[in-house]
Amino acid sequence: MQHRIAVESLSESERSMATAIEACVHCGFCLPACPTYLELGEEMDSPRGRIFLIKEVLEGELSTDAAAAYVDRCLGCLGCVTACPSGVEYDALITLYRARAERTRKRSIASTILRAMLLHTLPYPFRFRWALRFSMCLRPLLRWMPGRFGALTQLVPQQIPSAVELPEFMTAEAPQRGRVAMLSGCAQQVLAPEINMATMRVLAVNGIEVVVPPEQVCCGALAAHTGAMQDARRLATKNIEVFPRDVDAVITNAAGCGSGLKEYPMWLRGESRAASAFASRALDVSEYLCDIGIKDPPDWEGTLRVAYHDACHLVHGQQVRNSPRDLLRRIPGVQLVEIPESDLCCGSAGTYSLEQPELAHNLGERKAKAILSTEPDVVVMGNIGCMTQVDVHLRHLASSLRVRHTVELLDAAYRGTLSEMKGA
Amino acid sequence: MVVEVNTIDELKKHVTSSEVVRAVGGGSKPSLSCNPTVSLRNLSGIVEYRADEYTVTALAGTPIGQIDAALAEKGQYLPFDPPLSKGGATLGGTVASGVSGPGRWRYGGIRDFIISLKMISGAGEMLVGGAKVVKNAAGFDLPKLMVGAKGRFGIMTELTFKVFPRPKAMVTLELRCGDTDAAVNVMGVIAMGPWDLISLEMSPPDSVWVRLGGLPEAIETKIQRFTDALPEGCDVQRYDDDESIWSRVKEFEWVDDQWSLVKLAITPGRIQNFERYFCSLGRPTARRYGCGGNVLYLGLSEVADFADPELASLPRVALRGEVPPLAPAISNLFVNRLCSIFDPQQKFAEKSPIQSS
Amino acid sequence: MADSFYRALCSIYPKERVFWKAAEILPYESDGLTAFRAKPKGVVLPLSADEVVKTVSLCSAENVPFLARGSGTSLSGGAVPVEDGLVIAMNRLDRILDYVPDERRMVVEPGVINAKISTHCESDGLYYAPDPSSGPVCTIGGNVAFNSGGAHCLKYGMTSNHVLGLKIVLPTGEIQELGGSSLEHCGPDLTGMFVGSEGLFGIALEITVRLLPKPESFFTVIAAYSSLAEAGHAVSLLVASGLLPGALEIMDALTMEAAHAAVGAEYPEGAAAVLIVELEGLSEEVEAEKPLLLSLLEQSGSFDIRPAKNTEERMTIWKGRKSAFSAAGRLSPDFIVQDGVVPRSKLGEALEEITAISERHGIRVANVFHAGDGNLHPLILYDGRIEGSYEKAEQCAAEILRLCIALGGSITGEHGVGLEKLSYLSEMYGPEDTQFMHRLRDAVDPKRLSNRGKMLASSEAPALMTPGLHPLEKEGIIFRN
Repeated sequence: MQHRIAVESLSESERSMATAIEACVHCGFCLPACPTYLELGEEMDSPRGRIFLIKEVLEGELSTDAAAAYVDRCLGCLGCVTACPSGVEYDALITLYRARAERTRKRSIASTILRAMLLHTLPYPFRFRWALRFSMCLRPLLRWMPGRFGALTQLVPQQIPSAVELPEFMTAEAPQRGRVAMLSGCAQQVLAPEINMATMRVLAVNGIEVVVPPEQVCCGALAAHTGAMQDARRLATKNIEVFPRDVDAVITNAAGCGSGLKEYPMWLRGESRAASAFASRALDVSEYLCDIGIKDPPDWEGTLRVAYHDACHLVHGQQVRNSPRDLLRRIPGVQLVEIPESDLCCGSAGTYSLEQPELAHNLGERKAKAILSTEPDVVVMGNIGCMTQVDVHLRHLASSLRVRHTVELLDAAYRGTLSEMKGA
Repeated sequence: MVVEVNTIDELKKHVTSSEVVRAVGGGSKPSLSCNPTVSLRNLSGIVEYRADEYTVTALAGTPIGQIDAALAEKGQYLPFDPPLSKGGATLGGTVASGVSGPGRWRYGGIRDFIISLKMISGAGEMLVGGAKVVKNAAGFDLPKLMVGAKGRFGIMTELTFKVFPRPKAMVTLELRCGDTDAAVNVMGVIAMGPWDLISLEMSPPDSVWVRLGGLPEAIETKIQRFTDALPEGCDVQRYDDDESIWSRVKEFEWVDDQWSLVKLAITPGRIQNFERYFCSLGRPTARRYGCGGNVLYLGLSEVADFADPELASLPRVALRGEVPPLAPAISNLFVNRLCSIFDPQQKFAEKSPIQSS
Repeated sequence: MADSFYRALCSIYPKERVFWKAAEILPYESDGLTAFRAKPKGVVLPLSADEVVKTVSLCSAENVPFLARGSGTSLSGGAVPVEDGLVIAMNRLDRILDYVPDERRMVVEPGVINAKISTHCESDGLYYAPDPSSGPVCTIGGNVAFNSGGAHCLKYGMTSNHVLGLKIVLPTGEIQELGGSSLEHCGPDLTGMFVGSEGLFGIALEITVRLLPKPESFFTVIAAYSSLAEAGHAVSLLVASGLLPGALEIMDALTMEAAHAAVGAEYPEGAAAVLIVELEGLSEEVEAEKPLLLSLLEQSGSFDIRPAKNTEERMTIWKGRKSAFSAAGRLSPDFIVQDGVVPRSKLGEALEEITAISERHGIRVANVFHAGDGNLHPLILYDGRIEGSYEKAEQCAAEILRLCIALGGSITGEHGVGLEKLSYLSEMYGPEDTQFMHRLRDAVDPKRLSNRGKMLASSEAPALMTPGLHPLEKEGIIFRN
């Protein structure tokens, strides 16, 4: 698409916005892949509509604030990136644009408070744990809060698992085949610490030594995707510094975080050469396990009907589609079923469910119904955000279906506890 | 008096100088060409036949038989099987009546194969519609509008059709199903299948007729599998030399030539009701359901209003003799507005308002 | 005036479905052809046919031109708004109103996505045949307006061959029923006349489509050639043999490069052109046709013949073919897609001439086309940032269109005239016939409100030669000196 953006007024890293706009031919193939377009049916709430709006803002034809509502409604699920035949780098466009827009846009007081709250708690496990406890006490009160604050209650879990101290190191079972470092994540370690433990055990069983650098910080994806690029860069720089370089891979087990690590070169363009090297080592745990080839899990008499849900930041953000499925198929007794509309976001999308509660709710419900239509024994995915969202909406629909992480199922298979994976 | 025109110019003069204009071709569908003012019989001949392009162009008065013969030489055909060729039907009359034959089931009717035309409007303008290529989306689709319009919008002078290679082998099966309900059911089941049948028809009370075609080396196994898949209780009769069977159908030889003949556009789900009604009438009728039960050709020994309200409201066209008038007659705003341009002086107007559908 | 119109709209719609702010309207300024842009007055998002009818009546009363828009994927500028007119966004009218599998028929609202029709009836072994490349995106309403085609037109025809009946609202606000539920009809084929009228005759509210049983088996082959002309010749050979393939497509090297980059489709190395042939039907028939096809391809000089071994490989071939237009975005920041048709036997001649035109203008042209129909899709690549390059591309496009007309073909096979080919319609049909089309439109839409400015160029609107007052004179819109 042609544009009249004064490219020279953009910073070096921001110029990829212009490249993305040029690549868009407005063909509309992104429309059916976009959750907000499917829900609202409005051109400005579609990827190509947003590209159009961003172009107008960058050309100076439209104010940042006029476009804000529509850019904000983008989940950043990147379904459009997979669907795009022209190769538009929408992921870079939206992230860089949000960072740029944040500098000039006006936010309401409520929005400013909420955003600050999230950015100052979620990435920090200690603060997040206390925030959750606090919210649990306030639950009866929060329910009466308007809009987005009210939505918080939905996502506050019924109970918080007790804090788990993650070991800094786990030795590989012989014969050792490799050595990796693991990103422990922030919210995940509070909400579902067993995922990290399961990841380490599965890796160890397969002959991989795991280190968990204690100085590591939040991956920064949350900040980057909400336009707080300075925070994101700071966190990225820190991680690049503290993660060991003599490992085969940096393993993530949350799709959003993995996608974040792989975006480091984009965030730090022109500032860090180490970013590319780091990003090239980042791998989702399912990718890594598939690459090295896993041990056969022991035989099991039972059967398990497993619905696999594609986390957007795995399937669209990292093009990881087959690996988790291949791993699950290796488990004896597992019957893998595909969920209808599997390319569609569940509406979690980081802090989206807090910022756009209504849309997030509709998408969550749509996803939960799609999952239930496959009548599975358990639903499996690779992202803590999706797990929370899907769990909430399954409960809304009065379902007792359990949500598990891919590695949890694998871990159970190796430990012979698969029968515990079914519904509660 | 009927004017015989020999050139398009003469035809144009006739149109501009007359107050009422009604064209006749071969006169094979008398109800549609009653009281003609002009005959197109001499405006006849194939203008261009491009077998490699799958197109044939001919003047409107060209007899169907002549086209069929020319195409057959190159192993091609008009897949909608234009009827009444022995009766002298012409290309123009076939388009104006909108009547297709039994081959319509496979690839579509006359509307699906007409691609271009030349015509004269009521104001004497020479118009061109469509293009002589098999695919075209430019401009309004005048050729389709003329299909079934009974000359209401003008007189066609030249027509271009898409043609297809004719299946190299064809075999017909008659399935005797026992009773009407079973026959309707069998026809429905066959229609949902992947069989690529050339024709699928039903003749009451209980016969379903299918025509299979394709490469000679595949036809036996196809027939075998088709018959194996039939619901139980079908008595299958095979006809290898089937041309005469379908010719009889196309020429409406199964209807007494003194009777009225009418075409009704229907949907298959209604056949059972209609059959019950006709059987209860107490006077003879001849019926054949074509195109998988989407069209009913009805022969009537005497003309009386249909008592069946469903039947009475169906779009229809009389080919021969009179038919009960359509109640209620629909006047269509879209048609009227188009007519005001095609025929501002109402030269081609019928006595009764045009039937919409 | 604008305000009273806005208020009137708000009496039909809740405010959140009337878009009037800049940010809400801007994204509606273009369709799939970004070379054209127009700023509408506003956009409404109806949820019911009743709202559409009320809107059209209001526009008619207030003399506001309007455009019905589906997914905005037109490649001819057909869904570009009328300047200062109203956009009626039909995409939320997306219900399936009736589905009768036994009679292979579905009644849908115009906003239903093309591919969704086939998905909906898939479990009954049925499908909707017309398959434009934008099938997963485009709406059936847009298909009806522009008589969309696809890769399987030779055998199965275009949209108009698959629409049985329509409920429409005329530009003056009256509802009309055209056609019906039957495959047959009596009386003039008004459905056929409406389909492809590019919105000038009003808006479709309900569309009855016919469904076909899914072919039982497919055999899809890619055959590689060392020149485009050879591939073109192969098409003539196949057609002359009496085979009737479901699809016959050609892609040139540039298009293959783009499709490979877009969806990873693999093509034989060193091929200047590939021919995609698809046989379909009953498995016995396909099996019998296979050896015939393969020997014809060999005879035609193909140096690499690759049959798809399974459904997955077949889907990859089609995915590559269908992504070709959009994937051209990888070759060039801007491009014009042409859609001319030539008689099939003149394909070779047309391709040579297109190459010459491309060289003469120093502009790259990628060729991908429905060879079985003689329907060319030259993609004329240019960079809009370079001064004068659009004009050059347009010149190139014009020469290609004139070539199609000269060879006895059409300026558009399936994209429609829209805005892009406005000035060529009268070159194809001649001034008298074009004038006649203007008069037909004026009779149906005396105020020229419905999708004004598409298909029929206003600059060549009828000189005032009709007897009596011109409809626009009667309306007091125009006056004679």
